[in-house]
Amino acid sequence: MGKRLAYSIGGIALVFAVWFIFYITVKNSVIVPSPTFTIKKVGELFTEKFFYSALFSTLLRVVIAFLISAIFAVITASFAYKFNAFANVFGAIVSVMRSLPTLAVLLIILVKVKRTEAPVYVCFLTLFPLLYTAVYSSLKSINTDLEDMCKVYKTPVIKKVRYLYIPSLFPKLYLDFSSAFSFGLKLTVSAEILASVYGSVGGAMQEAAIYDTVMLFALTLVVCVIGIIIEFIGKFAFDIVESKRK
Amino acid sequence: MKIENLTVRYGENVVLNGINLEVLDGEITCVLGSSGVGKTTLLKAVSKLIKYEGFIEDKSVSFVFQSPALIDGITLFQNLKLACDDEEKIEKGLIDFSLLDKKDCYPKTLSGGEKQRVNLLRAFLSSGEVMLLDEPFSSLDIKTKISIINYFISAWQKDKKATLFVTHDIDEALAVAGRIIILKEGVVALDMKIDGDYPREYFGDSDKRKMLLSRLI
Repeated sequence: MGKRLAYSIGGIALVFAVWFIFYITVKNSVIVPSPTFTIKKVGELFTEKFFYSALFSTLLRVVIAFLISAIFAVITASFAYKFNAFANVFGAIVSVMRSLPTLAVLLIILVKVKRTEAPVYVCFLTLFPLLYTAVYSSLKSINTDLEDMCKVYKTPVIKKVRYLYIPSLFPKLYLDFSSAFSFGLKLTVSAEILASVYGSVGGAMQEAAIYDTVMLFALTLVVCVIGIIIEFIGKFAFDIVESKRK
Repeated sequence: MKIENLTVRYGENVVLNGINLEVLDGEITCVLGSSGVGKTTLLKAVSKLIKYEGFIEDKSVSFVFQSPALIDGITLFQNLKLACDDEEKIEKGLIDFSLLDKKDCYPKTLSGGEKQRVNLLRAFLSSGEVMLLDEPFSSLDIKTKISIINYFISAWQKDKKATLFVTHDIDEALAVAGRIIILKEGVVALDMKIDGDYPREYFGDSDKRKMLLSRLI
């Protein structure tokens, strides 16, 4: 754990060092602002009310899109696992969804849907195929002897879910789901920028891009840090659960 | 358990071709055959895990898989609870199979022999009327194999359930079987009674071994 933390801190320090070198080389704080000014600006952001409401609305969109994607992915992948015909049909649909160009989809969605809702749709359309594939391939990787064992011993469905599916799927799916969540944050912010969603982190970034580069970098830094924190909490919780299972 | 005219096809390929067989109470019926002859297919048909043609008497079964078929994410005790709800019975079984101190361990911490003992114990704990064993000792070294055969025989002798045991190992068959059936090209090629009290010596009867080998090849 200590070693891993040291490597992470080293990686972050390297990013800041590269940023600082760019800052010195470019010598134009409108194009590349100073890392120290940017960090100060992040500090200031946390004293402003608008920032909290923007952050809350962005995170709420991510959570909604993630939950819908996750629930839908688990249900459809379970059906696909049980019924081959459904797997073939849904496999094709998911392939199409996976190849959709995100930005073009956003533009189409914006014709019909409110700006504030469009990022949720975009996030869902991107996360769902990822999560569906993760759940379906994990279910497929369950040892067929274990399935047969449950059939032979007439294991009730609840016991089967609790003792077979959850323990077999948990380790892989937990990691897939937690990286999908932080990917969802990135996607939602991008969609908010393109859709100019007022009162969101993405919207604030778009406004800042016009007149305040330091603010743009500060907001970007905040999004990165939140993504890292989410992944860190995810991995930390995972390690605790896994260590209890050993 | 009566099995009449059992046929199993995988596409065009006929794996079992009209097998007639009776698995009797108080006897271990051992099906001997080389790899790919349809031994596992026979057990899967008997336990209704695959489609088949013909008649199989409807009886509940317990199954000892070739691989231990234990769920890694739960403890040994929880694995056993999938087949039996009676915790007292499980505790007794754990003592009989010398596994009591491993009860709260996860399968990945057990040795191959211990896992296979759990696999066997689970079948004995289940209320199935017929016990099916699919080459349960094939992946074990000879010392562990002999030790586990002894566990199996002493547990089996308590209620002497009708048992169908498949293997490709003649010595294993001679050590456990009350009757040996040789399966060849999808049909029964030999059906013979084996006498002798348990426990038997592994590598015991060399004459029977030679005869079975000649029929098997």
